[in-house]
Amino acid sequence: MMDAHLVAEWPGFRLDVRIAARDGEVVALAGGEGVGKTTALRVLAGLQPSCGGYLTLDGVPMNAWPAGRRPVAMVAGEPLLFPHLTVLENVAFGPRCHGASRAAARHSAAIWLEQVGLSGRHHARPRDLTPGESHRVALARALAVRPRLLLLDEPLTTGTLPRPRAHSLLRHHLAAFPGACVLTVTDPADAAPLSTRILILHDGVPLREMIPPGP
Amino acid sequence: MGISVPVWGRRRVRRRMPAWPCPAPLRVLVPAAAGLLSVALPLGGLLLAGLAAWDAAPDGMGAAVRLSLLTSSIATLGCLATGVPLAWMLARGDFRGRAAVRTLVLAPLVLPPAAAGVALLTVLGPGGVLGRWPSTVLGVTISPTAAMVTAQAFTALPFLVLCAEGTFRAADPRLAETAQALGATRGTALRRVTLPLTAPGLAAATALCWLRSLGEAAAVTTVTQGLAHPAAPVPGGALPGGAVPGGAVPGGAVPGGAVPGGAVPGGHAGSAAVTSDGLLGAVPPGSVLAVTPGVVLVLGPVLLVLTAVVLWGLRGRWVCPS
Repeated sequence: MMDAHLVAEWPGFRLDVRIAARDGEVVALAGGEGVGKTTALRVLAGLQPSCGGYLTLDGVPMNAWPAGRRPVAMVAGEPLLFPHLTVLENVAFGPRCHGASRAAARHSAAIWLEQVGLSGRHHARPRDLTPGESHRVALARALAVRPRLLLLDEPLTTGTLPRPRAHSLLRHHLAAFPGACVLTVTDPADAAPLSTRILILHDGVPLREMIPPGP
Repeated sequence: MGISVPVWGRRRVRRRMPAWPCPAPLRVLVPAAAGLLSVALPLGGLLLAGLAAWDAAPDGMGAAVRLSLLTSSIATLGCLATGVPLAWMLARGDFRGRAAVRTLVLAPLVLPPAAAGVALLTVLGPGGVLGRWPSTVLGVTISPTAAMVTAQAFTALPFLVLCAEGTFRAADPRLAETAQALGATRGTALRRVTLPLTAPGLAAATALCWLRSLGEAAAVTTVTQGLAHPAAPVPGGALPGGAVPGGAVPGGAVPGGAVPGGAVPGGHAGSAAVTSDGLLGAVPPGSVLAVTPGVVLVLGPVLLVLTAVVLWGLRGRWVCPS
């Protein structure tokens, strides 16, 4: 269960959004460029300081926690894989930082890579991956830290897959995810088959909320 | 065909496909070739002369070289300690006056080295801020070796900052952020992400800085001799020599000094001539070395090869970071 009131401010812009999501729920933030979708995710992840507001996960307040200690993982619009590490090492990075032994981290990384259909590419370097593969590695890397809250920034705009295929792939990857998920999309219609709730943002504030019909 | 035709608008031709779209016109090619030759010919001559003079290395050269290796290494360490944080600030910091700071730091790059020496003397000399304090309070004076290290660091620092800043700019800061979001502490992110990404560039910056300080001469000569002979009016003598790049050897700065400036043949790459002079000027007063052009002929080519190796490794990334 995630409950948040996100506030961020800089000259000429103010973000003020309340989001709540139960485990297994997928909330989509929809809106064009510059409405504050990515900012909202960054505040949730702790990458951007919030000005007031709050964030609780399973009832525990998290506002003051630094990004690395929050049980939150984010996949940015760009995959941002570590270029000097192999695919396996990229995915093992998170578990390793959370105290897993080298072998254990690699083992769980291998499992997550299998989950996203990349078991054959353990030793590839990020520069050798296709954009689609890079995003799947980034997703596996985020899931590998076993977050309670998963943040996906524009998961559908990347890659060259046709939409239905991209939807079903993402649904497949998220199927086993136990926590809450917040993702951003430009077009609300894009998010409908994936999400349980869609918040349409405009200038940093929610314009309206939609419940898409079941898939 | 073994000759590749220079192609306009491309820095490197990876594929040979567009071999003939627009070769450089002759009116560009000819002066460009002349410029290249004006650099390549003297450097080639230096190499050949060095090979010929290899057996005739003068006595006492070893000591001078050892001293220079030691001082330039210390100078490089000093540059690393101060230059890397400075480069980090210039690359990542967002503060007023950043352009001014960069201009200031890079100024020694184009300042005539002898002028740099004079500048240092105003600080380190008996009347200078740093020179006066130890001599009045502790009763010690700055040793020529310490002055030499300072002069080398002063002239080499811009190279390190320039190169390191390019490296830091090229490393995506979002990667370190991503690492922290995945649970890494700041230290872990630095150790496992930022450092591995910037290490090659920082190593190149260090090598460049070390080479530069090893070859520095005019500033070193001016400072060490200026400290050794405080009575000698340094600016009057030092500047005209050093102000002409690759021209007269600035050893003439010291009246009656140990350095016979005119003895170095100007035909063999002025920069190398300056080098040997620096090694000499570095020798603390008292141990007078007999300088011969032989020093230049042997050391010049060695430095040239070292420089070429480092610059080749950098592939110009320190000039146009990307």
